[in-house]
Amino acid sequence: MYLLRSYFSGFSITISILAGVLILYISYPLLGLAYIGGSINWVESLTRHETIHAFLLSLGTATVSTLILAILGIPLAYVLARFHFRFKFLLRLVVILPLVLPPLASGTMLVGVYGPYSFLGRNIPLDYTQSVLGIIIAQTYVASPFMILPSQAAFEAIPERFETMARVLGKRKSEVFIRVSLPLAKTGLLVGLLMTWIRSIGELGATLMMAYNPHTISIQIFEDNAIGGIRNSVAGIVWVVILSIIALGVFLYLKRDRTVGLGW
Amino acid sequence: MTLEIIDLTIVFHSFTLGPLSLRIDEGIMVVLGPTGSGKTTLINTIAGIHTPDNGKIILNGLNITNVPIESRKVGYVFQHSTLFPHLNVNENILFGLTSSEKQNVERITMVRKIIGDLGIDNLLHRRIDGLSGGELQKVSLAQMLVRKPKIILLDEPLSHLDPPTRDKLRIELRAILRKQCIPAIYVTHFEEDVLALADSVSILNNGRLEGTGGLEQILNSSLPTPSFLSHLISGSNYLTGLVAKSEDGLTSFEIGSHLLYTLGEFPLGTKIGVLLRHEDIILSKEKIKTSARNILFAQVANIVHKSNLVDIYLKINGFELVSRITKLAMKDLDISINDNIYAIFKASAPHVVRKEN
Repeated sequence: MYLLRSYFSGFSITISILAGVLILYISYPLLGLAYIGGSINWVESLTRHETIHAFLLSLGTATVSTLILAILGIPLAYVLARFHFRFKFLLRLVVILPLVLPPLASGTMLVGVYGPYSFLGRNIPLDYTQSVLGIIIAQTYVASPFMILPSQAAFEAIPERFETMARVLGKRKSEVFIRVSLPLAKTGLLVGLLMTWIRSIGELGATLMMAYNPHTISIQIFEDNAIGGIRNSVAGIVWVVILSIIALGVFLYLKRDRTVGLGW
Repeated sequence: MTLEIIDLTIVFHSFTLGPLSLRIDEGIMVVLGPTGSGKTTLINTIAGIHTPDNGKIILNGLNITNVPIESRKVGYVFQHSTLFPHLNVNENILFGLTSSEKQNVERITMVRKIIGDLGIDNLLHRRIDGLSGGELQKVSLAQMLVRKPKIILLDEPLSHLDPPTRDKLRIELRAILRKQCIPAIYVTHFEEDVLALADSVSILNNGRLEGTGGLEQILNSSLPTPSFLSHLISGSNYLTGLVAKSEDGLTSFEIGSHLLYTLGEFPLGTKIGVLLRHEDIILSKEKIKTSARNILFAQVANIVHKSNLVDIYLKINGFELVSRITKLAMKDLDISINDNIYAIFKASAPHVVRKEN
């Protein structure tokens, strides 16, 4: 009786309505997609060469970008969580910058320093723009906070006494990092890896500026829509939605089953 | 093995520990002090977690003041569990061993013995988050002992345990630590911990060492007992004796020519230490027939008035006791100094806090 009453209290009803409105708002475009999908040839759309190529390119570049950010971002997150030094707040500001900057602005800045007339472009002539390298530069820049911030929070959540005890038990700092800090921060790091990967796949603004070609899936959707409207771009959207659902499913499964490790 | 601390000083913002000097040979030194007195800072500095601003730490003649934590070979049990939650019990115990040590037959035998002595054989494949408080601390002890540390540091390891587990583990802990034949420093504010574990006691207050000495020396000293310790043991008599008989849950132990009774069973010849609260001793001018097992003939040595109560100091052949009674009871019995009197208490009154084989 008490439970029933608590479900129907004024507060519960109000908060449920507000939550429901937002869920409907988020789901509505997906419903629209399903409506439009009824009138197209799915097999032909999903297997179109340009869409498949763009999707695979996004998967590949996002994976490389995520690996680069894992190698550089996890140590940076550890520094932010555990090292104490003056002006650390400046470092935090720099880390958060790609998150607050509009991606197009980030992309413009990146073209400024990696473009053919930039210092790097003139002195170390590599294909920084309009190339796979350009896509990876754009993705790593824009997605970096998604790796660093959850990892930092994960390291900060570990009570320092565990790391101290590992050193008392004879382990060097590097061993403590590998054998204690990384495994204990596992869930947060996993969140960071997945968010970085998904954000990299979905990246558009900075990539538009750095590498319109070759097309990533986001640019392909953008172009398909410009040419033929939503019916023309629905396949690309469906591929990304399927991928996101699989990635989130895997994450929820790993987080739920605490016995599953990541090889640590 | 010997640990020497010479003129150690550590400054933390407005708090200063020291300068203090200590020498600990084999055996257990209990460091007593109220919260914020610097106890944990002291053992953290010995472990290498804090760097002293001044002074030296010498272990077996070697200056280890600037030796990194991982090279000190210190055994440390923290107040809160520091067992790694991503490893099972067995992996936690072996965490501090090198790969070659894990393959050394002699070391493996030693590890098995420690696990057996602590009675945690059945826990080896369990996850850490499923262990009770007592089990966690036993596994922590095993994790520390298998490394063969040169000094053992314990920061109130029993403080988060429920009272029955704490009492049981406290009694076992002395035997475990003494067996290692190395210096051990035990930080606590529990009266029972001091009496159960200490070979020597140091009193730390507001970063200053107020006194240090052997337990018996401090308890039996005619000099004024350091204020903190006297505060801790006030209200109880501390008696030690040898077990003469133990069966059916009842143990008799000898103090001088007297035989006293307490609950529990202990091997014959075991030296036990008991706490007996002043309030638990009743007094009678005549020998009465009673269910209480302990009836001692005594002489009143002193009478000290304390607001509504009176402490009667009793001299018994070979030792002394204090009984706390009401003013009214004293008036009824008409007690004066040098009176002969009977001190009576039940076998359940003395609480065993220390055991030595």
